[in-house]
Amino acid sequence: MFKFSDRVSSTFLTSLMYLMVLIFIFPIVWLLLSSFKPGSELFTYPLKFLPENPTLDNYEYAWTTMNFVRYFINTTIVTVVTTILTILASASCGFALAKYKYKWLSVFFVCILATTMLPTEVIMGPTFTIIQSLGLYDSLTGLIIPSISTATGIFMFRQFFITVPDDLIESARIDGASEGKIFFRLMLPISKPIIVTLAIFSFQWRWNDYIWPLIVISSPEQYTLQIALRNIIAANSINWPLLLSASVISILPMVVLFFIFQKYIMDSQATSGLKS
Amino acid sequence: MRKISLAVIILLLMLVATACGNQSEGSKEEIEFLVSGDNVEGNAISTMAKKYSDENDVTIKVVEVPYADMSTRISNMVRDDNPPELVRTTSLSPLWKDSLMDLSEINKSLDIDENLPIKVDDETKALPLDLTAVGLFVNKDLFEEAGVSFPTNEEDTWTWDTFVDSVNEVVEKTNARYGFVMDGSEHRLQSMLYQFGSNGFVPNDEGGYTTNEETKEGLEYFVDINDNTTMPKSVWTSGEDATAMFKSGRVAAYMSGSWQLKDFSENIKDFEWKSVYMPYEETRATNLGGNFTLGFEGTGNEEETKKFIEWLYQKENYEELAKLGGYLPVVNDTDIQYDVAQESYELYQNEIKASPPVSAYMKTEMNGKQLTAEGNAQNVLKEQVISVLNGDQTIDEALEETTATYTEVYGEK
Repeated sequence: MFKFSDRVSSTFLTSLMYLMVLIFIFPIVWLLLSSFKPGSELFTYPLKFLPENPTLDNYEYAWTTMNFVRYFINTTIVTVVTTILTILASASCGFALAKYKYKWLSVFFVCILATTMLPTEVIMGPTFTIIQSLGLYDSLTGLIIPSISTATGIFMFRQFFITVPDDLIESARIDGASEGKIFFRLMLPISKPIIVTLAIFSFQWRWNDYIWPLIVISSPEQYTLQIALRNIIAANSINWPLLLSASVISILPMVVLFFIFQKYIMDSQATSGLKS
Repeated sequence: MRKISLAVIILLLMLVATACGNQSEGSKEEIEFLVSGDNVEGNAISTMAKKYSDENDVTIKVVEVPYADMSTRISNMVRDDNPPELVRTTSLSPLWKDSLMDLSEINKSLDIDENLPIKVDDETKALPLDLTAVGLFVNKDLFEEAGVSFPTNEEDTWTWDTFVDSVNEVVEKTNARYGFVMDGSEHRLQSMLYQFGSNGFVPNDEGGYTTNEETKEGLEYFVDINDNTTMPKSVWTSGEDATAMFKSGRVAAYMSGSWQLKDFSENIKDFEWKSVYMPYEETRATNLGGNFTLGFEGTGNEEETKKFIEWLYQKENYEELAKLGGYLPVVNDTDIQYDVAQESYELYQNEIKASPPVSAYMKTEMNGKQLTAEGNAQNVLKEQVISVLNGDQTIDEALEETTATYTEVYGEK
């Protein structure tokens, strides 16, 4: 059988990877470059890759037309609060499911797991009714509360806590630590890798969330970024220069975060499917 | 430690509470006006609302709603017994019918084109706010390069045959890819059908809906020129963006409408474009579109809302609104000096004047039906024509299916 030498195969694989990178990055570069084109250059024939007369007008226009600061603040509140609450809820639930032995606990766990089989869209109707009757329609709380509990998060923490030896908890109990203390001082610190992974996921989910805010939020003061972008698409025509620059502005915070937490993010994506 | 964790939790809860504090209830003097697309239409409505708020004891709060969500949003608010005071919308729903204000009195006091308001049971339920019309654009550079002429005044407009010959000649003599594109929209197609003498889809004696022979002739013509030479098939069958094609400068003529004027004036720099009179076969015709103003009962601000509506439609205020937003006027005898494309706007107004009653009839009638009928037959014709273009059925079958749907949805059972 023909076998690649190490050198050949690594060259081949590396170039394949570069090719994939190019394919993935192309639309983003195109978006970025187009946002610097004046409106008259967007549809020229033949299409040009680089803007001929690069301009910042689109950005100025987007910034003055749209209340970005407001949208950023709203999106940040929703994202940060949800992420923190998700981690607390998932960690404590996962801990209980892994370490307490009660008769119905495993049944309960199976029920939680079963909810992952229901796509969000299916439970959207009932969830909306609940939110509406609680008087949370058109408020950021209405965005935060339904997103807090996630079966994925609970599962991640449970699987992690199962690997923690019971002896550790027993000895803490012997030392007189209460259950709350054990959880906050012992369990949370050692589950840091899971916390980071879930935090990154939750942050991405909430930042890019579109359908739920679309249903719950109605007044512009409460708009998140993704909903605000939708306003640009009018009945008969789309204001492309505005849409392009506004889209770029909306992804900037994610890009900045990515560079800061690059190490963790790459790590979380690589191990998310594995059981440690 | 326990204290710290408790403190963290309390802090978080407080954050949630403050972040999501209920918004203040609208005070008596605040009128909520739901609109969509205003920020991309020169903030016309916001500007006028601000002007009124500055001069009066009332605040008109303009709320921008995404176009595609407008109908759902209003329905939700009506169901919630918390309707907005005013909305500007293109689509209506039977859910709102009983909550709508009767605007008959206002309509009488104003000088609005009498064909356009929507009336149900002798009550005026909606006033037109802005008008759009279907129209034709040509790439002037391509026509000049090919040495082909196009009509420049109302006296010598072209027939469909002349038009198709002209654009085909342009394609032959220049590097144009296609002669003619039309938005993938039923609204644009209907305009062409009216030009062939179609009377639209109208009730017959048996409580159903029917159409005339001319509709079929128009459709046959349309399907014929969708041959990938004169017209690209991709626009109608696979949703290619007709605007982008025209903007690329490789298409001789483009059938779209007055809403493009602002965008084209700003964003086409590579070639010269021009609005020209549309071709006709039997009669000249455009098709109307645009938004309606609707007021709701049960807000506690009905009187103030009516006052604002009356103010907005006063000639000088309306002229300012139309100028800012680039709207065609619904108020009679206005004299509007637009910022761009003045000539084109005048051409559109001539097209409207030359149109047969069916143009306004189909618009008001069908929009009115949206208030009373449970379903709607919008886009049925489009779907049927696409399936003809794909070779799945004949034109006769398409028309049969379309009239059957109209009968089913709007007919008297």
